Amino acid sequence: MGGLFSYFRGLLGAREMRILILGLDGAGKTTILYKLQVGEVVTTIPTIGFNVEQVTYKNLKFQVWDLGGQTSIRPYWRCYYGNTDAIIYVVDSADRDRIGISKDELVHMLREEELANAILVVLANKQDMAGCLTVAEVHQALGLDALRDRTFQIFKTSAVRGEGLDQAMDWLSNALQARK
Amino acid sequence: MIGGLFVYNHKGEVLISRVYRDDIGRNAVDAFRVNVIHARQQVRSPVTNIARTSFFHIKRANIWLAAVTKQNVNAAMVFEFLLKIIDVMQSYFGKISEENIKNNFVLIYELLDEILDFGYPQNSDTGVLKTFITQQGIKSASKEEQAQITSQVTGQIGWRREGIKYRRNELFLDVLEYVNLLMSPQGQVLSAHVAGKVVMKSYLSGMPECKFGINDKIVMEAKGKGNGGISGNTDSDPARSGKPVVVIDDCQFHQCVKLSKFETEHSISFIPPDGEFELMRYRTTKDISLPFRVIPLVREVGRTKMEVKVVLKSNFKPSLLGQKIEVKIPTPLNTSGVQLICLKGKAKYKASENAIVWKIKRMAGMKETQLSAEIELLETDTKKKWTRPPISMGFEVPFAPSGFKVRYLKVFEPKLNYSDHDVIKWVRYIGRSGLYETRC
Amino acid sequence: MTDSKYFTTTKKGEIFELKSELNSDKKEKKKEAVKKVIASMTVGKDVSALFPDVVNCMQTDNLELKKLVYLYLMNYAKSQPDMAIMAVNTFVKDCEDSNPLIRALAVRTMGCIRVDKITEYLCEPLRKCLKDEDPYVRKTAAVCVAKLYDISSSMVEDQGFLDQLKDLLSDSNPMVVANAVAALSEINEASVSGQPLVEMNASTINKLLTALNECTEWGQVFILDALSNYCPRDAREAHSICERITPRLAHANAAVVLSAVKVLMKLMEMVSEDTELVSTLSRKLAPPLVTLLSAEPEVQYVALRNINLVVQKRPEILKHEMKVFFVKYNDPIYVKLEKLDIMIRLASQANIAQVLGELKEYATEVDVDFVRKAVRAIGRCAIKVEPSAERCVSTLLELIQTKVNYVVQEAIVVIKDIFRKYPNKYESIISTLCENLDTLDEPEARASMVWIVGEYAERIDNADELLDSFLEGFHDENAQVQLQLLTAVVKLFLKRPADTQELVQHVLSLATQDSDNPDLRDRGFIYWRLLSTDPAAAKEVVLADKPLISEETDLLEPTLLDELICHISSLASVYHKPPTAFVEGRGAGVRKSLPARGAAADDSQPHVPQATVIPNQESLIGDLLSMDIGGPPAPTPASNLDLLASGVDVLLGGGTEAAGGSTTTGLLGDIFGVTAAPACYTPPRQCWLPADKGKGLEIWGTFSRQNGQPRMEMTFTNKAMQPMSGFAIQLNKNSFGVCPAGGLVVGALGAGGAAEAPLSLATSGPVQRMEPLNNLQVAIKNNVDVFYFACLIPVHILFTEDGQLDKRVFLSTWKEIPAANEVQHTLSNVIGTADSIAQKMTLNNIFTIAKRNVEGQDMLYQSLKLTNNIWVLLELKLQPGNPEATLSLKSRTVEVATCIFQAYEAIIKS
Repeated sequence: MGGLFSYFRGLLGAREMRILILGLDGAGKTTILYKLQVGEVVTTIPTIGFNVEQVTYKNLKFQVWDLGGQTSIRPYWRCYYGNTDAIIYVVDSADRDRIGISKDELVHMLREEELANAILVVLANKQDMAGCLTVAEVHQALGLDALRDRTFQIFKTSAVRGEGLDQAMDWLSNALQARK
Repeated sequence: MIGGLFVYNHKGEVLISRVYRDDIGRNAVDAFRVNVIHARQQVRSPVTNIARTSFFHIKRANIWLAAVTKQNVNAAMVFEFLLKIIDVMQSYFGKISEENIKNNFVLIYELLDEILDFGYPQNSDTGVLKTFITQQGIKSASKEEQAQITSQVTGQIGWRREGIKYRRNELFLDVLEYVNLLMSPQGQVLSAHVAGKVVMKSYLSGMPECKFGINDKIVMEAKGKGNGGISGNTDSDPARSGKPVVVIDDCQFHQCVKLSKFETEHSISFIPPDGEFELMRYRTTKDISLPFRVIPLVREVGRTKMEVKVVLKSNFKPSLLGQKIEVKIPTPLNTSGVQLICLKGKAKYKASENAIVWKIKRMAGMKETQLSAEIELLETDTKKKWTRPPISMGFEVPFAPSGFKVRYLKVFEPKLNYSDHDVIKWVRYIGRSGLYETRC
Repeated sequence: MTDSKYFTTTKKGEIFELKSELNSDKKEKKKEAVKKVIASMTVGKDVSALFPDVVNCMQTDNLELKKLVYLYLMNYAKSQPDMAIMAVNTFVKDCEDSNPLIRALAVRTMGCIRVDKITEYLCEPLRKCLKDEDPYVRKTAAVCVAKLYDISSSMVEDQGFLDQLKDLLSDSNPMVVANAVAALSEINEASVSGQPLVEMNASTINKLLTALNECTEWGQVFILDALSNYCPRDAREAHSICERITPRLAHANAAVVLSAVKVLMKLMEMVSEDTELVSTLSRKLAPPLVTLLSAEPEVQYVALRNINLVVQKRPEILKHEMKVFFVKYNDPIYVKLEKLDIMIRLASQANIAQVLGELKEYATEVDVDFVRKAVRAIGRCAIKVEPSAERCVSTLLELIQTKVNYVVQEAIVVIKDIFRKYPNKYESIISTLCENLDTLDEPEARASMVWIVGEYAERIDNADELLDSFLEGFHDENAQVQLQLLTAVVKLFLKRPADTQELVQHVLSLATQDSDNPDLRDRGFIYWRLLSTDPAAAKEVVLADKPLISEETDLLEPTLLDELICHISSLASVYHKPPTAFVEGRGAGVRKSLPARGAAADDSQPHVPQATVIPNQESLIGDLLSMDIGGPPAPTPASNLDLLASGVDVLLGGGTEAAGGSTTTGLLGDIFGVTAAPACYTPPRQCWLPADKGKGLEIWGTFSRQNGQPRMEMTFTNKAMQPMSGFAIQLNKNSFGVCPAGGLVVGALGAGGAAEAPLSLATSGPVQRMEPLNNLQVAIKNNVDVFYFACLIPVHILFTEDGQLDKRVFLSTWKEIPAANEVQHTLSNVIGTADSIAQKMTLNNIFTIAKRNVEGQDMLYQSLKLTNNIWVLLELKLQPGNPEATLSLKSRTVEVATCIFQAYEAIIKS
């Protein structure tokens, strides 16, 4: 597989990058996906299953998978890990009660062999909500300090207002290209 | 309703399997193979009940097509539907064969999904299906086109789309009749009927309303003299002189014909599909002019020899020519050799068919010819005597043996600026043999 | 590029390879991979392991790929119920796609995924699609409701989908209407309660009739099939539906034609008093039915099975069409056999010459079954068309000369029947028959031949030798041949006692000592007893006159025939069995029956006597045997003396019973003879409307039946101070369609006056099931007010005069009705003997088919028919001296049991 991989790497730019958007239900994953794709905030309903869209950002093509965050769906995230270049992990910063669960899911996921090389972007979303956790608090709560051997970055975002997403995507595109 | 549809090759291997209902399991596929295709005794009915599951099958050219159900479905509909599927497949990829089915299985699945929903047949008109089911998947269609497709699939005129345009408005009518006959050795007609159909090819712009008139006895008597003849080559219909009307026992129409109008006014009006379609089918039993007469003479000379003489008479106007004439004279299974003399055409003994096949390319009306054969037989001790199957014959003649005549076909298209006179119309009459048998 | 290559990949590691291809970035490769998966699926390989990978291909703008993935999902969702949830979001999205084809595709596929977890997500998209602007989506959603009902009926009922579906019946698009009606019909048939969930009314029917003219051929079938379940309110509505449906008979699709035939056949019952309309319809039905015979053979087969029913129900329709049923040499065998069946039914004096000519031709064909049936048909003709008997017999003799083994055997079997039908007429041919004795190897033929030898023993010089030769291999014979031999030898002995004593001894000892067949042994003992104690009685019994054989063959029992007429074109009509016989569970639907004939029907139409039924050959032999011995089960004798006594009893009884439909001789005949003064039991009058509720009007009333017509007998009493006038009556819809046959003839009623108010009733009114079944709600109007009351109809006034079943039909029907449809009831305080009870019953149109005495108990077998054509079969067990009697009832419509029991109670005590 190594040979095959490097062959694709060489053609980077032509190949679509595979990105997963994960996170607990109600974190704002679908909103982020469509904000990225069409630049608008669409009304969403809970995603029972998945959405997949092509997103072009600064001449880079991404195939972005937005997977439902319900407890019943999380077990199937693993079916999507193969060949993943990056993970966008979305956290509802206002959901203080479940930040622990969010951390557990993240830790659990990062242990997967298939994601060993994937770049991680954490979005502390819903920063527009009153009383939400700050970026530092989210960083802390997810235990990101303990991460080793992983290219990652955390951003504060508000998908409904469209804040912070560009920054995150800029960083992600650079990080992906840097790996060439 | 239909619970599932299976297609098998002659070995019983599944080529297509589509299950529509939960009560039909995978084992149904095997049940049919074991109990029907591989049955030790040939199954003697097209409907088979195996373990409370009913199987309807038709077999065409080595291919088995089976519909399965556990319910009390409309049996006539199931068979009509199976026949329709064959039709649809043929119009998409030609002959029904294992090769063709395998080559088009994705298309077939797509079609099956469209024309049968939860076991209920949906619009299965090939012309309409072709507008949106193609082997390449959907044609990229604009929003208006999509809406047009759906309105056509479900529409009141589901067989024709709007906006058809031809530079030359033209239509062709073929009156095709199959003469069926069963005659006793003494020349008595035991039963005879004509199964006719009118096939129309229309290349007309817009949404033309057509009115079709024939020399139906009921109409003619009601109206007296009809008006409006038809342009085209109707002059070559001499066999019918003196018999101006035809008595139609029963007729059936393409779905485009307004049946309620036919019932009340006895008029045939319709908006035709584009291209070729079967406008009507009819059946007549009265005053059929039988184009040919076969007179057999069979003499068994001892146990090892038979003499057969067959006289063939043509019975129509001398100026007309019958074509593709073929007389098939069955011979006993223990035939060892045949000597043949025929005055016209070519005759051959075909051992594989257990028959003498006598072919004549052309024969004018009011002529007579004959064939004599000496058949040598092997001596056998089987008690079973030869059952003398009937002599059958095939032919084609350029007239309608029932006396059916097209009186007019008028075209009205109120929105476009062409009139009935601008339409070029062609009519042709063909009489063919159906099951044309003479017992000997 | 072709698709066949997908069938060829069977390498190892195939699944792994497919997995990586499915995850490919290249769309083409993905599509190719999914095609391979579908191909594997088709040939039965398990590719469920690829579920997640295939599901991930679902969101694509390539419609072909999407369809393939959907196809896969329908097949495997059930095996991966948890993972299937990953597909939901895509379905929901597709249901809102801008392309109507995709919206429809999604809602169509989603309904086929039968996973509980998914079903709940189906409701919202379905609700939207049912109201979609595009008719293509609506017609698909309509079918989806039926799918959902199959998965969860409660969800459909709770979520209001039924109402939405019902709304679609008025949709502007004919195809939407057609699919909605199909879905509704299915839901109604499957309804858990057995009651239709959505009732059709006249205005919906009108909409359906309009859509009928415009929708596809299949849609027309759905609509016509739904119409066949509708019962018009009155003959006028029936008439108008007929008119609007008749044009369908000219449709090119055989299913449309047959479904139209079904509706018309049903409606013809309702308009039967309008003889002109009936004969017009009959005339219109013939040509399309004949045309069906030029269809493809498979369609012909269905048509022929249905024509068989039509010919039994209304023989006049096709009576002139014999010729079209002539068999063609190349017809498939299943078509040939069916045509032959219909030919026999249509055979009449007018066409017999032609028919015989054909049958003779067929008897020389190759197919054994067909030839046998043809030979048998010749025999049937002899029995059915008397003037042709001679020709038939000589034809059969010619066929025997062919020496074709199975032809000879078949001919002998039918000749036996001809002998029975025309005794002492054709015995001259016996010698020819005897020549073929050695070649007979089938039990039925051997048994028939033995019967002939025994029956005509006095004319066959060497009868003793012939029978003796059979005895040599007695124990190797089939049981029916053994029984027949025993009886034949006994007959021979009774006719020629002098030189056959040894033979009879021999056969009796063979039967009683060396056989382990109990029937044979018992019969042997009985003969032995008879012969040794009272040879005269033996003669009377064994050589008794045979009852006449009847003409028609294999007729369906009338209720079953009526039920099958309601199922024309369906599988039931092909199998000639009710749906319950081959459909599991509730899918079989509610039993259908023809509507009651129009009121005047019985008067205007000459009553055609129900042809008696002769059973098929197999049971006929059995019957011949029982002719000599009495109906089984024979009682097991306790002692030798009893054996003889009860034996004779049974013999005599058996003889009478076997007389079948024409029960004019014997014990029961006497009873029937007395029926000249009919007096149907009329219950005492009851107070239906007390004066205080009727503003002074008091009504006492009861029901009766006079001259074949049910009546209401009422007395009106005016207890008010002022006169009453302007009386009118109205009956509410009820279970039996009872309605006034005329007006109420009561003039003005002065204060304190009283008047009789008799009212003749008809049973052609609108039907609605009541609780209890015989409940009748009445409204009486006069110048004062309108008054309402309810009363119970004693159901016996609805027993019709033609409720007598032929004995054999009774037996076969009794057997055929499933045990679940049997109800028992104990009658108390029964007085009178079996005969007197039977007599009383007859006066009330409960007909005694047979009477037997078993172990001191009298068994009465009775049948009755209700005005709505429901047949009821009963067994009444009486023990002399015991005031309690047991009544067992069997009916295809067992709901009537309670009323029938009440009627019995009342009649017995009357």
